[in-house]
Amino acid sequence: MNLTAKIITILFYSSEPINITSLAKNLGIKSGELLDEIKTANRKLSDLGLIIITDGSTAQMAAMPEYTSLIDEFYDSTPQALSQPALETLSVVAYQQPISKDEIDEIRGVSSEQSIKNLLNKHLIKKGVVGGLEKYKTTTDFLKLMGIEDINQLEGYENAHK
Amino acid sequence: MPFVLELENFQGPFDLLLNLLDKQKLEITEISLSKITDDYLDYISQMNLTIEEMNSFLYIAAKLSLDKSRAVINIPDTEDEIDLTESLKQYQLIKKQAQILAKFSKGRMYSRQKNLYKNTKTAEILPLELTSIYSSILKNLELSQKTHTLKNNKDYLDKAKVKFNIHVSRLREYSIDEIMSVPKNRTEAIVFFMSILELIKKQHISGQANILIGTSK
Repeated sequence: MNLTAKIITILFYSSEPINITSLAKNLGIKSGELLDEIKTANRKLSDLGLIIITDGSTAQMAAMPEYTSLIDEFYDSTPQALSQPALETLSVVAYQQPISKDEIDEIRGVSSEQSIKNLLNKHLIKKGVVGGLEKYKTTTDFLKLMGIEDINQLEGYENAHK
Repeated sequence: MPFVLELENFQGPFDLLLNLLDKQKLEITEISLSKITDDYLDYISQMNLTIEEMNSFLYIAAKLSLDKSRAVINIPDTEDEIDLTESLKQYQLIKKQAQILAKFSKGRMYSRQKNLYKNTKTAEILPLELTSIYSSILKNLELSQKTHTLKNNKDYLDKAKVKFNIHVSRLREYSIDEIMSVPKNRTEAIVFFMSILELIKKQHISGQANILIGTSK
């Protein structure tokens, strides 16, 4: 079995994002090598309409954006509403991550508590500890929602992080 | 999960200020803010706000009034004062970035779903509705209509409870059909069902229906 096939098989089986460190350890490679292998795997998967997305700490297999309408139609899926406050809060997290609740509140000028809860429930953001502080980051579900492989493909992201 | 933008009232003081500046086609400067201060104060006096929301709007109202007063009298800056023009510019950028997210979300992707059923919807379920589902399961099992009494055999009931706990502890998510396929007889089925209700009551598990309540066949 070659390495690319092993990665694809493991990610194919899971409906949840897989931890990059655990997967790399299991396959006996370094996390960096795994991320490179994912790029190789994506070249092979593109012909099948599939893609592996990663937020740097987890990876998940998804259908490419071109096939979204097919899934919507077949499964009769209904779009979920995201309110303006939640969308604003998501923008702050996406472009300024990792970021604390206080920092989000300061940028928006209002409390973001409810919006943060809403986004956590939708798995679009996750909480982690950075430098001893609780901070929020986007998730692989966010990448799926944006239709991008990694956060660097988000328009304006690199400028925001200069 | 595409976005559906909901046009609501102003999300906060920055949103209101940007809107007032935009209406008068003004740039974000201290002079412009001074011009719209009265409009801002008028507007918030008519808004229906919660105490928490009012706190955010009043904080900015105080800052605007202070900055306006500085044009006529000398009031020194304090360390913890925010730079309103900078905050507004940052907020304006966030609004633009939110539009980028909305645009990108049209190209969303899907991944594998757990327990995916074609043409099914999900809804919160109440214990009474769970009882209704259980009744239909019993009907499907073609149980007789006569009343039965549970034998007060504590050992047997304890064993059935242990069996239930072992079964559910292996699973993270499970369907009612999946759980109710395990009991070998009616007594076990009742113990299993009562255990589910007990766990829901204690909030150790939560229930979800894969059909819209009231539309089940």
